[in-house]
Amino acid sequence: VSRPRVLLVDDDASIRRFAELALDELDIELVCVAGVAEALAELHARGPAALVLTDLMMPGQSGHDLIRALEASPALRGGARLVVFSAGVGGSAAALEGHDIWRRLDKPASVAALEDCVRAAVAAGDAAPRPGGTVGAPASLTDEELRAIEAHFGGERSLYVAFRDSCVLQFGKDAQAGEQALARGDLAGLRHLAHSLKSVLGTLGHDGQAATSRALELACAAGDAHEAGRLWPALHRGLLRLARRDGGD
Amino acid sequence: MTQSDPNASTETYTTIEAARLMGLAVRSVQLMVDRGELQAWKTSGGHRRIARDSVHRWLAGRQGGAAAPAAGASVGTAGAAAAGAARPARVPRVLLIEDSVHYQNLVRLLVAQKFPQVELQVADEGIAGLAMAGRLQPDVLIVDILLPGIDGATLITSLRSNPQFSASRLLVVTSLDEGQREPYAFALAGVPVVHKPQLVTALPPLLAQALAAGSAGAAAPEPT
Repeated sequence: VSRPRVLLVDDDASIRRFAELALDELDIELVCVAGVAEALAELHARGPAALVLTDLMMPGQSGHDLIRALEASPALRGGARLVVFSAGVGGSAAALEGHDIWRRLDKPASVAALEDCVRAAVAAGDAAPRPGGTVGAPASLTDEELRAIEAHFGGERSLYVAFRDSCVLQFGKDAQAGEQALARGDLAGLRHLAHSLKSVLGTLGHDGQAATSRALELACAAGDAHEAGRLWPALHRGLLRLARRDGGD
Repeated sequence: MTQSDPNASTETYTTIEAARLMGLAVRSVQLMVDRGELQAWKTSGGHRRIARDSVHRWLAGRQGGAAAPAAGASVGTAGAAAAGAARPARVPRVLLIEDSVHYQNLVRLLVAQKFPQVELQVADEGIAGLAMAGRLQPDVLIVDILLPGIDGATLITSLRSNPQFSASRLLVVTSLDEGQREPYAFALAGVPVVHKPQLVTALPPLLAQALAAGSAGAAAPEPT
């Protein structure tokens, strides 16, 4: 019988080591990862865990992003109970309202508190099953995605999907950052964003939007605010579509 | 080589203790147990207990290559390691200096999948990255050349010329195409450059080379 899998997501290596020590005696399989992207990749590769413990404040994508990603993907979440394991949860309590968090555990936590929390979560069994597909069988990859997997990912579909899902979390923030840069006339900031998006969108296989990003980068570099203002709305719409997973170009 | 023997606890290490002694990730030790390269038991609660002897033999094998294989435990990994550096094993460290969250994620995914033994640290801007590089002394630095707040050529030149970073191999990742890289040609001469759209296929072999070159050239004592 396989042991319940517990996924700890924390960028702090000392916390990951602490958890390994604290939970060593429990009959679980503990998997520690340093960020949201690795967490999603682990869940994609092996299916839902019994318990996901996540920090909130992490560089790049946060625990809030992971919580949203799991809510958006019942196949990844499965019956996993979700525990927020973070310092200063109080300040972020409002942001957690309405989310299906099983328990909150403040750092610093004692060995006993962490152990009790994990033991109770595992003993409680699966949370209410959620409707949704199964991991490994999303298979709804578009032709352009399949081409990108061959062209840029050496045929590694799972890596592409993990990267795509982490990008989806970020595109909404990119759209907001671009809006703000344009509103304050910050062509250097918009150029930098477009420069980065050009590669990201191209790597994902969204060649049309990558070309728009490239044109926007050049317009910003030339100081052409009018052309930048003309190009941005199309890219903005495209980013929001991708953030909603409505498709690419 | 995993079996039940609850009486063996006095002569054993936990997986974490063994990992610390061996300078390996816990997962690596678990894999070695699963492959039979370390002698191990399971407690009645299902936890691994690793024979101290087999850990000590592995360590001796790494340092001198003279240890005899244990009865019932293969030391294939130790034999291979003994042919390499004589220094104690330690976790290879890579520092990524990159402001794009997208590419931070992609490098994290790649490293976790293809280099699970590597400890990856991330700095999201150049000045903090320089400070972290000095503090961490990474085996490999992966650097984007267009970062807010610092000129890319200056950053690369600093990393290449300052003796503080001389033990770190440098890899550059960029969205700039060949033509756009011309202003950086002098700073980039001789440095492996990965164009971001090819990152998934191009970075792993270069990182493997850089890590291998780092360990081969690491006969000198570790920086402290």
